[in-house]
Amino acid sequence: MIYFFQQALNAVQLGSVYALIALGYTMVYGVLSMINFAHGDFFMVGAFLCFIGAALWHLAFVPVLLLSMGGVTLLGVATERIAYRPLRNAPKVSAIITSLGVGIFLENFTLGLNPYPKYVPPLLPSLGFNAWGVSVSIFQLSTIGISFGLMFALHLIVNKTKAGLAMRAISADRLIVPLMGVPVDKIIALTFALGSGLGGAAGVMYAMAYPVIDPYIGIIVGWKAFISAVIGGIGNIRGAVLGAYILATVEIMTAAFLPSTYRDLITFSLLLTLLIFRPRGLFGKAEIQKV
Amino acid sequence: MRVSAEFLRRACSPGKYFNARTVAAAGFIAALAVSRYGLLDNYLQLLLMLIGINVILTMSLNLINGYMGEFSVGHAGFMAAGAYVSSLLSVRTLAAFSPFWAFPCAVLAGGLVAGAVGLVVAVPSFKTRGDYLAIVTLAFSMIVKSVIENIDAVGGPRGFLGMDKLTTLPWVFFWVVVTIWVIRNFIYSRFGRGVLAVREDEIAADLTGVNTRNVKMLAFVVSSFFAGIAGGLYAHLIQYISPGSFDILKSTEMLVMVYLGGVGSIAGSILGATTYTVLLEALRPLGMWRMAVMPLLLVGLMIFRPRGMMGLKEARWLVPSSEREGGDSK
Amino acid sequence: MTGAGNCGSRAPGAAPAALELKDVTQYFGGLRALCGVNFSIPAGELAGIIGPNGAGKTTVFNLITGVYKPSKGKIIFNGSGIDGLRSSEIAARGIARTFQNIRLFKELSVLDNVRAAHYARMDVNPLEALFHAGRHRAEEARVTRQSRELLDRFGLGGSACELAKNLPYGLQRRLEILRAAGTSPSLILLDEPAAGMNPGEIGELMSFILRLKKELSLTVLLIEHQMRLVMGMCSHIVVLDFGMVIADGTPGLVRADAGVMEAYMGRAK
Repeated sequence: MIYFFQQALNAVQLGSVYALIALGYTMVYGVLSMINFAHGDFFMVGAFLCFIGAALWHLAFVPVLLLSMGGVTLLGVATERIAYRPLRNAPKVSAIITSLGVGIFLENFTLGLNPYPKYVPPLLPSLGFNAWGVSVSIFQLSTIGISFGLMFALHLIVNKTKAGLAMRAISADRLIVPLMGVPVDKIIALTFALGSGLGGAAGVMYAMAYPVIDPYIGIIVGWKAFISAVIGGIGNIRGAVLGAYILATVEIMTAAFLPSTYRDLITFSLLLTLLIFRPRGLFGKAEIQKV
Repeated sequence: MRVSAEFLRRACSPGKYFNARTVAAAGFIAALAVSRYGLLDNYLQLLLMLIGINVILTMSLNLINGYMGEFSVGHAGFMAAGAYVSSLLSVRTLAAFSPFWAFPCAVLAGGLVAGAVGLVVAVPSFKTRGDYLAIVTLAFSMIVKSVIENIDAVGGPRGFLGMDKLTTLPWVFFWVVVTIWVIRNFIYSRFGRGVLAVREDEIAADLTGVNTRNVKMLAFVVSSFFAGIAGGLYAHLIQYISPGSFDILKSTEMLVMVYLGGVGSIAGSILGATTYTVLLEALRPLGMWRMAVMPLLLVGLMIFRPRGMMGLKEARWLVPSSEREGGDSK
Repeated sequence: MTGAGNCGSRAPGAAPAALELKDVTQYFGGLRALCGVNFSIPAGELAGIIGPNGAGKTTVFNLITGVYKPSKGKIIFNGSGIDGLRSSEIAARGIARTFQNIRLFKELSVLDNVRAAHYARMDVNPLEALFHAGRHRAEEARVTRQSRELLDRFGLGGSACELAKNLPYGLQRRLEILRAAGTSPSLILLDEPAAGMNPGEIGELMSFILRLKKELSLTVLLIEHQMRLVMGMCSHIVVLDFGMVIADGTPGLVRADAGVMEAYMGRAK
């Protein structure tokens, strides 16, 4: 039973990382109905910025976190401006392929700079305590705490600010909103900024939990986060967070109680089953057939 | 490099200079001569065979993503099915027979199994569309990969080897021609128009009598069949396959070739696969940086030509003669 | 003469019904879109459905063509029930339709729009198509010829090779009707065919529909707001309001009906 709770704690920790990334997917999808396949690689860049800050510049935890979030925010906004904005009225698929291209570029550009996996030194003291047999580290607590904080901040921005209202309006109808005087370009840039910033934070959390990083970590973790967003119903912010925790729980628990090679098999089979019965995720609105 | 230049020129040339049948016959004889008498060095032959396999893969994916307008990101799964089945057959079962018969049978069997697997993916496509179907195909390909990883008899994650190098230039050329011919026939048929109608407006298609379920099943079966064939050829060319050979990167590579060349176009598929494969080789001097330059070219192309090089246009010589006066609407 | 729920206004001995709706009711969630709709359209007739916005007219079409399955009731076409069948199956049985907002296959040529509609009328199996067999070639030739004939006869022959999206609006409307005709239907449902047209165009459209009906011996059921078109063409009008049939009969009867006046104009105090 203690083993179970230990694993549950791990699941919450991994779920927090997934959730931060999934939010980026789901927000961009919300406003642009476009899957930004480069987002997983934004996350990877965040992890590498963490490496730069921690190993090369010897910064402390908070500056590293700010560095990663800031750097990835810039990257996200720049990508949107350079690569996605010219395609906003092109076929949707062109934008998706472009995002795949941006992703491959980021992976291989990072690979060109870092041909070998990098080791990220620990940023937090390896302190911890024991709660009823479950060992809890400072690091796990801070991951979970910071993720919750960021998600709450995002919740406030989306639901309590004017910019958030504009974001929700764009996601409801992108064609009509500019007529109401909403600066669509700025709001989309802001969406990318927020989503990427969270991805950068996730990069730091991940690099601290799994300190050996390479330029391809964004692919698998990114897809997993994306799947989280799909489980929740892509475009739905609360769904993405919930999906992330569900996915992380399934993954950690299969790995804990079954041979670990079954992890992907079970995860993806569950996803497939879910999509067959709920084709638009747990919270996705059913597609209304307008005839 | 002569023959790949030939590919390019053919793909762009107006029909009056070429008749598809003579090109196919001449090409096959050339391929036979090249492999028998070693007219090209091994590296160029390998490159040509890779181009051919990539052409098959690109056409296969283009059927779903270009013609049917869905977004499959899991075609490497079909390729894996074909590669493993054909390799298993040729190493374990058909090894006693002459490779002259055993090899095509193994490749064909791989294609058929992949086609059957395609049927499984077609079923969710009845209800699920767009981005969600993309996830279904992705999940499917990950499942295929994990299943292979968990079967020790085929080497699990370590991969599988023991195949003889049976893939030759004439065989690749033969399968490329078969793929082009069959997919062309399919597109310019009752079912092909159904596929296009599904892309344009699925509900309207249903209400004009197109049995969209049958059409989707057929498209997935044909597409995955050829992806499986490409897998079989690939396995017997590289002589080593592992679950990692058929991961998301492989699927992404196929997507890039499709959208580089142009959706909904056979000529575009040929062009896209050839350009990609050749460019990747040409950029080899850049070493590690070539895979960083390549996607930049793709992004640039998407910004300036969002539908790829040939998007929705077809080279005249690839259109059945009965359709030519009808204009290039496909 | 005709009030709510009273729909037995047809003279005995009329032509057999091509289409019959029996007590058709449709709920969307808790919302009742149609309530006990009964009417029948005799074969060979040109009938119209009118009613204020939101009365459930398009829902009737969607139920007939299998886009939705009725919550209750039966839909009978040429003597057999079709409710619950898949849309493509219903189309194959001979009901074709157009849409309120034109839904052409935009990136396909005009000819291919019509040829695609022949899907259910072609006798080719997949293997024959994949291997370019003789029957496939013969069927292709037949369908191409018939589609061209249809386009030529109804004035779109000249644009056969253009992409559907490049046609002007009025021709797109016509092409949509011809695509429906391409399925060789016996009943054709037109959803606001005259929407967005000026009076001159409406006149042309009316003669187009009449000619199509006559030459292809169709039964036509149309939804329309243009009273001129409905009153001028239809021999039989069904009036819907709030999901119920409030009148059903000849144009003269419907015009005189107090309930219809009320639905359109409001109650006189």
